Amino acid sequence: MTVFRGFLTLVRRSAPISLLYIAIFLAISIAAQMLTGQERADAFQPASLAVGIVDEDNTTLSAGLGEYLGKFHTVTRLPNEKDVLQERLFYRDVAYILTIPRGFGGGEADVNVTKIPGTIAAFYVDGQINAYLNGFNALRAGGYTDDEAARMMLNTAAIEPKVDLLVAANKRPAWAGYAYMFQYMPYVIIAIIAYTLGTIMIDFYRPNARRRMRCAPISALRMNGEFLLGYGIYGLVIWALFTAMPFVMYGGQLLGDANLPFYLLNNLLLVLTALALTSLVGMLTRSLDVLSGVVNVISLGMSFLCGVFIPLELLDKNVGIFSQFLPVYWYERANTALAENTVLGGASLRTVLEGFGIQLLFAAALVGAALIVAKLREQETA
Amino acid sequence: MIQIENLVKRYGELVALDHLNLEIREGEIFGLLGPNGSGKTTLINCILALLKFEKGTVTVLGQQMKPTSYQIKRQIGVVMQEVAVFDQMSVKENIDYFCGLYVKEKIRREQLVEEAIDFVGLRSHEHMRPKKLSGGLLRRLNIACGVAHKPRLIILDEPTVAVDPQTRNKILEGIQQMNREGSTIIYTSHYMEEVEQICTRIAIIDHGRVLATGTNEELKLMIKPRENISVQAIALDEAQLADIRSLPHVLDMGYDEQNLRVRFNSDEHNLIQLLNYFKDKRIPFGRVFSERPTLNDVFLEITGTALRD
Repeated sequence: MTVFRGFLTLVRRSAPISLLYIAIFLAISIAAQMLTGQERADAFQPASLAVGIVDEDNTTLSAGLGEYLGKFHTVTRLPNEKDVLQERLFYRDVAYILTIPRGFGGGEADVNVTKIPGTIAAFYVDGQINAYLNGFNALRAGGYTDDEAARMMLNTAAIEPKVDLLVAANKRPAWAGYAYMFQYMPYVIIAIIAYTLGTIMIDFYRPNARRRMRCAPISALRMNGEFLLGYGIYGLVIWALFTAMPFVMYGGQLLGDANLPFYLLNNLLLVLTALALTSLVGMLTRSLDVLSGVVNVISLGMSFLCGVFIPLELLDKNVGIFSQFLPVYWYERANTALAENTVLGGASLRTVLEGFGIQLLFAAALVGAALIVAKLREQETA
Repeated sequence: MIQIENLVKRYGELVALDHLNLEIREGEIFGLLGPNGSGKTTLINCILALLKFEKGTVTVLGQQMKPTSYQIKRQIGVVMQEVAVFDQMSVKENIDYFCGLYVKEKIRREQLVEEAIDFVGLRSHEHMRPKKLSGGLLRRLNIACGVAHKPRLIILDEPTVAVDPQTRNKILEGIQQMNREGSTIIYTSHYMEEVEQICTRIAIIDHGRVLATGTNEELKLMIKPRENISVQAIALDEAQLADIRSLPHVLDMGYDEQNLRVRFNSDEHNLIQLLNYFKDKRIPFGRVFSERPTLNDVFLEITGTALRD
């Protein structure tokens, strides 16, 4: 088992790089889960802005409007000085400035608003101003005095909105933490496998080393067999290591997930695809410097294009079409289906199985290409 | 030990080995001498069954050599022209790996690896990676990887290319030591002085054919020049040059830049008779050199060209 022993020696040499990638992975997945996970939470929370009010009208209506907005937002009274207003907006002290001109209460003038461009929550303030003014005018038209109308409108602000999020049958309201870990895994698994095994392949398949080994009293079959054994065992160790991580972090929660076997199988297929991809990369690459570049391009490229770092639903349509020609897309597609459904069935099951099948096809195609390159290189050595 | 008969190897239109015949006996340091592209490495690759050939037979240790002749391969050590080691393994791990391809028993292998490290003088570098080694040390590692298992037959394909003189001497001494310890050596080179220094028998190869085989002395006896004499003489006129040309056993001569070179086809009394002529004619002269023909002369005589790099 000399070749196998040699393989393990070379794997040990790559351990520091592997540990570095694992640390990066853990940092990314934990940080991303903390940030992204909140956005997908199942709780409703109204937006609150810093709103500046310039009240030149000083009527019951204008004062009531300011007080009303103060129930939802942090309101600051501002002087009507252009420089001051520009500065407060520029430094983001306020995100929205409401100017109530003289004569507004008498219906002679209209309010003026200034917002930070692109602030989505500003539309929320627009709506609240409209709601207040419509309500106030309706009450006044109904015979209420301005003071009464303002007080009644203020009372409506105390009513908290009731929001019920409806979740379809078998759908999860939010992804579990481990689903995020599985989402980010392609980057690190491809990077570690391609770098570690690519390095070993460059050494093993260097023509001179290959020629020397062909002089040894070991058959090519045995040599390749021992090499493949090392390859397979390394893949299994990486798979075990990375599937163990979500277990360590989310233990019982993951064990209770009905989709657990599918998660594990999806991850195993990812490892298999990474091994196949590496066999081709290792055959085509002849120097460590080139390998390092190739590994970065492949792992980061596929991660950005296939929904590892950016969720699939946010990808541009054209990017999505292109991504379908990359194996990681199908991993992420299956992972998304697993993350969103508590129980697989019908369309979701079909999506997952389709992802598995296409990953297998990718692995087979990559191995086939690697074998052709290996044959060509063997002829070159001869 | 090795019998090669009528070997023909072609690369397309190019005939790399042209009906080559050769016999290498046990205990020899057999030199394959020839310029780059003469067919030395192709011949080695055919002996090791790394290359298929069109015609002929290669018999090693009494058996026909095939890619699956593992029993024969077990007794052969190969040092390739190019350094063939793993960059990611240390010096010791490399030697252990390649030795392990031949020797399975761990204790015996460990002993052999230790001996190989001492043999090539890499004890203080055993934990270093090949990339940290100088060119000379790398060559020594390359040799250690090829011979650590103490094979009966060692094939060294130009092991001293691009090494400094000190390392070259160490390598040549090592080869002689391995031979003294019982290994038969095949040594290919295009450095004639190396072949002349260590080889007990030599084959001159060019254009895929063996042009001559024999010991150093036997090869030199095959050619007419037996002694070359150079004399520094300031001014020799045509008459004097004609006199010298007519001296006994003079094969040919040349005179330029105040340097007279005369080749004799006998190796006795040439210097005396030449110096006597200078003395009789009162011709002033400076430095005098007398040398026996070298393998370069042999090569020049046999092929009609100097050994090309």
